[in-house]
Amino acid sequence: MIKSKINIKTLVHYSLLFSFLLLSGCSTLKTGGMFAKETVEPWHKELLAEERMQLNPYPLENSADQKIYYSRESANGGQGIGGGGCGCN
Amino acid sequence: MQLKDKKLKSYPSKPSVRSALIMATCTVLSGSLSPASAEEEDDSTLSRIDLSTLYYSEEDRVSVNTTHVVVENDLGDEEFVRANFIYDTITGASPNGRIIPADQGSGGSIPFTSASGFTLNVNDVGSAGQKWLTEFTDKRAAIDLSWEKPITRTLRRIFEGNFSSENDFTSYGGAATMVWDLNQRNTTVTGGLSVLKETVSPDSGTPLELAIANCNDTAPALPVWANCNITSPRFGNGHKRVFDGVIGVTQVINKRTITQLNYSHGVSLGYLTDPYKLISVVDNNLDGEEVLILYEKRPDRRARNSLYWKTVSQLSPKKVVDFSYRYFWDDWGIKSHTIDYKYRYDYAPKSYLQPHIRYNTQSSADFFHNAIDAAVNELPRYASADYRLDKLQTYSIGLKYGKELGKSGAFAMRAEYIVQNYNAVSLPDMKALVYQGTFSFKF
Amino acid sequence: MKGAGPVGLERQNGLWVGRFTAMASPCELLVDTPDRTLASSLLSIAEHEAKRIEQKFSRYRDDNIIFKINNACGKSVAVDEETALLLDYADQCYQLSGGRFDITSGVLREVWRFDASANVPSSDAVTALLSRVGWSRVKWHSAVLTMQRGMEIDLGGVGKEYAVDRTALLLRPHISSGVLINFGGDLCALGPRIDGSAWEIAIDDPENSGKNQLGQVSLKTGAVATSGDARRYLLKDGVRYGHILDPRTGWPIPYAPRSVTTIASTCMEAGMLSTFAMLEGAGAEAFLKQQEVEFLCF
Repeated sequence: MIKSKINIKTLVHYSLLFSFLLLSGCSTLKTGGMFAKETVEPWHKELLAEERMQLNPYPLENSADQKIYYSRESANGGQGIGGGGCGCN
Repeated sequence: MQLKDKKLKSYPSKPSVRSALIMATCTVLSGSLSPASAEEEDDSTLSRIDLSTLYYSEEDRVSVNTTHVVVENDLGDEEFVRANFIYDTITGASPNGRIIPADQGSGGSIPFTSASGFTLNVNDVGSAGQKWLTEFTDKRAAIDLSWEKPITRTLRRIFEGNFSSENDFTSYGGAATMVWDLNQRNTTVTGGLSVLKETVSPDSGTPLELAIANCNDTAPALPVWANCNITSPRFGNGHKRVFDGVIGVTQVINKRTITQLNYSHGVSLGYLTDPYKLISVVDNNLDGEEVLILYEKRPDRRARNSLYWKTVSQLSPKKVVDFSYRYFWDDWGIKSHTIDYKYRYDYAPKSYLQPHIRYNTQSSADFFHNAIDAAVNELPRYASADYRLDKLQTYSIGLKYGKELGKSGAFAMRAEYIVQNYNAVSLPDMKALVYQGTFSFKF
Repeated sequence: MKGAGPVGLERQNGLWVGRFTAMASPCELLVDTPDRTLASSLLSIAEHEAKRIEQKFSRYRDDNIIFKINNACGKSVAVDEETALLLDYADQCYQLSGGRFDITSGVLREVWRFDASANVPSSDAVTALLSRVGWSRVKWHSAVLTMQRGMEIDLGGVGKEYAVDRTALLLRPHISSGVLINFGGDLCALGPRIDGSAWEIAIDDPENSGKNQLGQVSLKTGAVATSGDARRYLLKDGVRYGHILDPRTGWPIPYAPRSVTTIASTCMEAGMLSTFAMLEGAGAEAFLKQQEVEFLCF
């Protein structure tokens, strides 16, 4: 059913490495970068108010992922509490 | 002239007029950003419905269809009620913990007789005589209701109740969360507690842990401690209670970045064993042939911890990254690292693409054994061959396409490809595909 | 100018220029991008927002919150959050101007018609109206407004500037630079042009529109607003009565400038500074200098 010539493990490793470089690159930009602390007044929060900037912007996808990985891995949780359990074999 | 007779009051301390005006203007403009006032209607209450359909399919193993509906109603004054309805249908074969013979083709030919005679018959083989798989089908329906209400201007509480039912499993519970905004809402402290009560109820009852499920009739010798002539007792339902607590801080770093750090601690108590999982006893004098099958046994207590860090940042108006890392450890000896990275690219004002990658690695549980050596004098106190307690890695890669439909609708679809590989168990890599479509509508 | 028909988008001088009419003014959106789709979607956002604000706050309609307030006949009216924010703002501006900026002053138009004639109303007629003017007579407890019968409010003095700033807010997530919003002469630049250069804005002479420029402003980011309309005045016995009325007296502010243009970070701020300056009459320039604001005053 699933036939893949691409080695997904290599792909995930390289993508993660790349994203780390991107993140560290962003935090050293001369403009201050992603983690440059600044005082944010209430009227400067228009970007943070956007749906895509929320901590859980896609709850249905997040809950699906949580359940898939809950049933296939031993580690779970972390994001918060709540939600029911499942037998999940 | 009349005009000059009137004494015109002068402006209060002149240089302050502009700064006061700046403040007043900002109040209007920042206040007007709340979604309620951006709506055309004066009515500030808003309802929302979210629909999702998901298809999950593992190669040669389990497939799941999930329908998920969320209805949210804004009662005004920051008060919300939400209802989640989930329905799953599950079919396929799941690894049961038995070893996989090196020569898989002959795996089905070893004659086993059932010592139990119960409906859970381990001779119910998986496809093509694969005895290490158990075929099953199940349905799950779940409902989750929550109610969010402000207590003061900076304090909110969220109460939640949930119930979920499968053919052989029920779970119900509740949760309470407090959210406290500080520092002009730039810092948010969250604390929450939850309780779940879960019951596993196999048709044939739960087996005695580490009791014999089957004996290999053709084995020349059985371990001295094994008595194949008695029938293992079975019990009623297995009960467990699950307690979780979380404490977290969310911080606005700058206009484009928000970060969150959570610590969670949880304790599960009761029957934590999986009544469908088995463990093989192998005789190394017989080339590791399976001579017995036991039911697995897990400790009746598990304490879990996790540290979770998440950051969402807007790199440019079109690019948003969402990064999270979790470190998990428990007293079963499992340690796990999980990294999740999403990159949303809004290539047009209402359309976006979002690649996703995730990596998870975990160590094995202390009581994980791929199989038990028949030569041991005494059985271990706990033993499980569940592949999920083995050292394993999971790799996921996905792509999502999202589109806003007018002012109040949104649509998204995504595909994910997941590969999982194991250390001790000789299962082939698990390969799974996930397709999900979501639709949301505000009214 | 185009009417209410389909939105027009044209390529001019390397910019996408979109035009529509809203709030009784010609509106323009200049987008410095080669991407027509982007420009078109920004234009639809801008037009939608301008028309939404016009529909919600115009005093010429009978289906909005302003109509509801002005026809409540003394009853209390609960308003939505956005209206409440604007009324709070109007209240603050009333306080800041010592009562000279007043959203209830529109009633004075019943006797003052600035048609360049010599129709100066009688002192009695003006005095009679004053009992129906004055924000201090209105009971405003944020979200609930109670006003006596015969009084009227008009958010026309802030609506267009508010529409410009709101549009800027809505466009910002989609584009970081290279947009100029112009709603009937109230402008906001969302960052410089793609090549980093400033927008060059000509200030039109209202008495000789389209032919004579009073000045030029270079703007990379920020807002420009103009107050004043030199065509609206009365002339009697050699005395010129400008159209800026003092709501406390019911009479025009003497020696008010013909037009004041101000540059500030938001269009609402620029517009209100211009209005305050006009209300200062002869003291307009001195006021603007004191506020350390960039301005053009005629």
